[in-house]
Amino acid sequence: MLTEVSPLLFVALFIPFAMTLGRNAKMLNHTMRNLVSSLIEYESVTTTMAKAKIAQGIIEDLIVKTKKSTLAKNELKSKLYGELYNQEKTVPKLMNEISERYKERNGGFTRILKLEPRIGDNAPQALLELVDNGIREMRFWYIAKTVARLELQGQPLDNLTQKNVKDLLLYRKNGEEEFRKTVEICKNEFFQDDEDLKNLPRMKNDTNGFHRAFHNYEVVPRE
Amino acid sequence: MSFVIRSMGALSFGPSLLPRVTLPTLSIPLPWFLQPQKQAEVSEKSKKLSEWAKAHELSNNEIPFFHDNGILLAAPKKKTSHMKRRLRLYAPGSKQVKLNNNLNRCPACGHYKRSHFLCMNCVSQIQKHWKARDAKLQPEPFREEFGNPLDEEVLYPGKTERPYERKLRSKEYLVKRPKTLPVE
Repeated sequence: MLTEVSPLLFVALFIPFAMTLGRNAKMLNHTMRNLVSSLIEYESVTTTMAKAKIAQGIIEDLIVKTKKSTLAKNELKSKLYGELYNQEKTVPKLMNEISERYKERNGGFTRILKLEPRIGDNAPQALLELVDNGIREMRFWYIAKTVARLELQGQPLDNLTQKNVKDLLLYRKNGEEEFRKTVEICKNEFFQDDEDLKNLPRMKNDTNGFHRAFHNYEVVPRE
Repeated sequence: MSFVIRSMGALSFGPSLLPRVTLPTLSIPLPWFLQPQKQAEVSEKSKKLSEWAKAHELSNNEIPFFHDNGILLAAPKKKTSHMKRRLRLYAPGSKQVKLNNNLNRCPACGHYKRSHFLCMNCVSQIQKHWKARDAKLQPEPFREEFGNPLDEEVLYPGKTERPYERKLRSKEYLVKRPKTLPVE
C-alpha cells in the first residue's frame, strides 16, 4: 500500500548505494519524479539506459499501488500529489485511465527499447514506454511498419513477425482494428520511395539475423 | 631598417677576463634612398612565377601547377618517432577501432541495424509522423483580428530577420545520423 513505503522513498533508501547517476539522493528523487510524471503524461520518454531502468521500477510500483489501494479517493489523490509533478494532469490520468487499462495485467506495464547511442556524448539511449497505450507506442508502430512493408512487397509474414503481432495484440482492446489502421498509415507514409521496397528479405531463417559464420569481409593473410 | 653598431672595446680584451656585462647598442635609422629595395625583389619573383604558370599552361600538363612545387604544401616537420608510431598502431585493444559483428537486417526498412537495438532511421520516421499528427490535433493559437491592417503594423511592428538568424534557424550546424547501408 502507499501508506507503507512510497516508491520514491524506496529509491532514496536503496538505489543510491547501487546507482546514483552522479547525484545525491535529493537530486535523484527529483529526476526520477520528473521522468515518471512525464512518462505518465506523454506515454513514452527517451532517456539514457540507466535512468530508464530506475524509472521503470518506480512507475511499475506506482501503478500497482494505485490499482490495489483501499484508500478513499481523496486520500489516494493527496498521496499521489506527493509522488508526481504536474499533478493536475498526471494524477487523474494515473488513477482513472492507466489503472483501468492495466486491470488484467499483473506487472509488466512498461517496456524498454534500446536505441543507438546519443550523438554528441555517445551515451547509451533507451526508449521507455507504457504498454498498450494508444498514442505513442514505438513497438506497435515498428511492427506495423514491417507488416506494411511485407504486404507491399507481396511477401508472406515470417514466423517471427507473426509471433510479434500475436504478442502485441494479446491484451489490447480493439487491437486488431487499431493495428490494421496503423498498417494502412505506414503504407501511405513511409514507403514513398520505390527503392525502399526493392530490397527483399533473403535471410536463411526467420530471425532477421545472419548465420554465425557470416562475415562481410575477407581476411587477407600477412605476407 | 637600421644598422646596429656594437662598441667592441670591452670584447677586445676577451670575455674570459671581464665579468659578463650587457653590451650597449646604438641604432641609426637610414634615409629611404639608402635602404635596399625590397619591392623590386617581390615583383621579380611574381614575374617569374607567372612565367612558369604560363609555360605550364602551354605544356598541357594534367597535374596542376601548384601541385608539389615546394611553395604551398604543408609537410610534417619531424619524422614520427618509433615510440609514437608503435603506440598508435599497437595500442591496447580498447583504443583500436573494432569490427561490429552484431549486425542484423532491420525488418521494417531492410537496412543494416545492430541486433537488439532499434533501427534509428525507422524510429525517427515514426517519431516525425507522431509530431506532425499531434500538431494537427492541437487547437489553433488565438489571433487578433484587425479592421484596419495598418493598426496591426502600428501595434506590432515586425522584426527583420538577419541572415545569420535565418542561418541559425535552419539548423544546418546540427550533426545528422547517417542512414545505414541496405543489406545485399
